Amino acid sequence: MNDPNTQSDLDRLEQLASEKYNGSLDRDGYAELQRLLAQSGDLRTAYWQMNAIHADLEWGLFGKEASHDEVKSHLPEEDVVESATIGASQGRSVKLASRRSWGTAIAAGIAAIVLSGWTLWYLIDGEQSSQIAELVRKSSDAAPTAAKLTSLTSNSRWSFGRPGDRNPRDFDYGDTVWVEEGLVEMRLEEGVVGQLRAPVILQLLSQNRVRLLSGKIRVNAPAQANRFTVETPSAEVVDLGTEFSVEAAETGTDLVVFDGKVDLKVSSSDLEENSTAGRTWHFTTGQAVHVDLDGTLSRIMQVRSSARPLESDAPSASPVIASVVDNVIRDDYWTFYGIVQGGMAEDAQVYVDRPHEWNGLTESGMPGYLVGGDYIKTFNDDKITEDLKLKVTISQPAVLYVLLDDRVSPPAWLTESFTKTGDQIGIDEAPHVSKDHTRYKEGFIEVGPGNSIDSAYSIWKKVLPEAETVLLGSNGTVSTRNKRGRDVRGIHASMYGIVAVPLEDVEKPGL
Amino acid sequence: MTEADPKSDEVFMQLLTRHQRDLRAFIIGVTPTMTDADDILQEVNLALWKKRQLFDRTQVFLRWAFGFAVMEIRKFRNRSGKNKLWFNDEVLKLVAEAYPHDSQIVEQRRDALSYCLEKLGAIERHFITEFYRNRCSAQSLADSSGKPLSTVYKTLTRARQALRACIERTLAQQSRPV
Repeated sequence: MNDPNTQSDLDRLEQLASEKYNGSLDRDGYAELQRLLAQSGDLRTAYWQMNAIHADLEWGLFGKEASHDEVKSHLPEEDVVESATIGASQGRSVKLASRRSWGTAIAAGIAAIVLSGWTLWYLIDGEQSSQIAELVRKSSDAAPTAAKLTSLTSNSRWSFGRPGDRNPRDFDYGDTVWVEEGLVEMRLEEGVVGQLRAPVILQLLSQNRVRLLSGKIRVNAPAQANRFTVETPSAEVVDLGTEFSVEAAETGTDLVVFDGKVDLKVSSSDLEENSTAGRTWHFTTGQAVHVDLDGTLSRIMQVRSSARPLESDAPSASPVIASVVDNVIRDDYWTFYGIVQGGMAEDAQVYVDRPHEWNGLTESGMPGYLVGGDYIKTFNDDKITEDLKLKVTISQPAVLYVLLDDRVSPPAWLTESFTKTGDQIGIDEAPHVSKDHTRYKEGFIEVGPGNSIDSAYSIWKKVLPEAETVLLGSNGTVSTRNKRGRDVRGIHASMYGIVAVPLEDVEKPGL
Repeated sequence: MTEADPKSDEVFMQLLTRHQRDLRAFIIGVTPTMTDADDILQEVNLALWKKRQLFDRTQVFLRWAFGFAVMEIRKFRNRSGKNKLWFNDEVLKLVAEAYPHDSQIVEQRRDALSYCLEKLGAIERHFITEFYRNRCSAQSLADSSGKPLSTVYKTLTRARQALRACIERTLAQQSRPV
């Protein structure tokens, strides 16, 4: 495949196939994958090569052959015995240990009969075929578990409120789980994954609906999931292909959309007439909202996260960035700032509303003093908010860095109180679609520094000897001329970034 | 295999068991999700077992079995509604026909895959191991590594690309005359 067009198709096929295996391929991607596969025999051959790698890794990294023993090994010992018992006389169903083994259960169940001491029975019984068929039928009728619960932290503890059910894995419809400690992952058959951080009380209603009684769930729903819904006492959140979190508390419900879009429906019973009851709002990437028990919606200004969420139970350094507040007051303004504690690193997401990433301009990486710092994921659409004011509160002696797009003229608030370090950092811009459906940038973002860097940013700093609230202003603008030679401010580069590092860390030798 | 007899059934069961991996790989390639693939495999196994008396042992088992698999995939697709992402009939047929039936090459590629896994970079190997062997979701990988979800996706993609390139190189070297 030396033809550049063919090579380009092959690269695209490889990307789409991998997205399919990741579970992140959306409807448009699937249509494109189909088109490529219909296009050429070479691409179909290549597709099967890609698929073989995925399927073999799925089957087992070091698996060599689907022997009877291997098939048997996918069932726990007691289930193999139970399978044999079913075949002999009883009508109980088989419950399998893993989703992967579900499909092989029929063979496994029968193989278990043939291979584990039932061979004699099998050979001498004149009804063997019908009994095996019965076993097959029973096996196929057995209902798989609706969801699986697994621990993501060593201290996780949960139960269904029944005696002796410490950390049960099988989560069935109607069950209510109490997560008492740690972080637990809930994985549904449809591919929806939810993370439950203690304390959480959650009921599983169906394959696409859960009831969150209290606590927080973070949901990642693949493109093909069917309108997965989280209901709380005051609201209902319907996934439209996205990643979001919902928190139910006594004061109401918090919704944060990290990627994609959701519908929010206010469903509180405390609502009066002419209220928001029954109304549906649409929220997209980078938006967060609190729903009061009386149905009032209010903006959540900042959302905190940690670079290492699974280690959040362990003692950690205190946050450097305490808060960020802006001066935007508008009823329909729901954007949030993401504060990521210790999160500044290669490939860190730059904005809450774009998948762009911070990276070093060259392979040597970003300046070392930034790495591990707290940073704020700003909102790139703020680049056109001319009177923007941001109050960033720093909780300890620190150095505050502002990363400014080199395409813009530095604004006065920056030049007057910050110092230009002379260092730079880059942004690897990801393809994205704007609100008006314009598609920006083709290709893919890369991993690591010095790869696929699209724009350079200068690093400005301000030393803060003690805790302080710093006022930042609007982004700089690009002054360009239109066709008539007049200055216009129509072209805005990207929004600046903000990083804060403890002063004592910056003063360490080598940084 | 014209009538049910224990020995023939046992042989058929051995064939069915031996080819589970290939059957599943085929079904994964033409279905939207792993869950669908496993459900379909179950139904294909059932269909094959019911039709075992029609199997002629001079036939290549997988070619015979794939015919039933395609039928079951179509039935399953038609039942599962429009919200799922499925190949249409034309693409399903084209893709199914392109499946490599040369078991020797399939085995060579598997050997090469085992070899190439060792050649992956540390980060890529870690992500692949966690994703496939330990069944970690991409999201939990992102959380545990502190990387954005998009980076996890990219790293997994890059690992698969590296594995495929390595497999092609390995096979090319094996076929080169000494």
